[in-house]
Amino acid sequence: MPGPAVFFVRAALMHLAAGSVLGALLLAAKGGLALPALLYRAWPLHSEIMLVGWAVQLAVGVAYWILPKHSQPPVRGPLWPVVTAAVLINAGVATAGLGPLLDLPPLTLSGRVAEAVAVALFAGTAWPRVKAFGR
Amino acid sequence: MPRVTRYFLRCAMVFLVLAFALGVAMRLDPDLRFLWPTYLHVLVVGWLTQLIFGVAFWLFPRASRERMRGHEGLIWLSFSALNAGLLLRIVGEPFDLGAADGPVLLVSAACHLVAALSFIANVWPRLKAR
Repeated sequence: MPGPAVFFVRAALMHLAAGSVLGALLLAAKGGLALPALLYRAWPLHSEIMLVGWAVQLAVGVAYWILPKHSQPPVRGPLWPVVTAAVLINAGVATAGLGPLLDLPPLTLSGRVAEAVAVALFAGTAWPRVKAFGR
Repeated sequence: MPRVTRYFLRCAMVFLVLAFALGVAMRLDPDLRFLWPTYLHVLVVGWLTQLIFGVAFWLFPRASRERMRGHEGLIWLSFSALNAGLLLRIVGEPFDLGAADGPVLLVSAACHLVAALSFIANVWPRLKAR
């Protein structure tokens, strides 16, 4: 597995762990567990972590690993868009998730923009690798 | 395909069908809107996450020559906890179970957490850069 794919998948697993802890606390709160007041408003953070940080990031990492390679180096395309995407998607999840919790809409917007740029960079790199066998 | 992957994938498909049936039911009867959080978790945990767990265990790089897919006990624990947790949630989250409500949801929460952490413990050592 190439280094950037390992980074994406490990980051996705860390989001899975964090999102599961948060989700378990929210579910336990429905079962009577008392939580700090801030955590009762953590549902948007939980969903951001699980949908973008876990599921989308895992798919990006696996696609980077498994899509057909180019015949000439760099075989998986240029590295800078992928590294930038890795930074932006993780920063985006944190800011988009914390925005509603801290009641800061501009933070949510900046996170969404970072996520959008990250997936656009990834799609731009992956696009030429979606091809028929032997091409 | 390993046995536990077949179990993951078949259970995932059952939850996929259940989720869409819940979606139709909520559309037909607006009084069933209280099922929304359950519907969402049946789809995202029961289908999507369960499918990912099964396929990742099957196809991720091997851990070693001796233990190709890492510690199998961890993935069976993950499978059992995920499905037990989700079933408890389906019963306990939308319906009033009286005094049993609290314990059912607490056990369900613990199961969800165990499922995720045991999957991570299985997969993490298999991710190596080459």
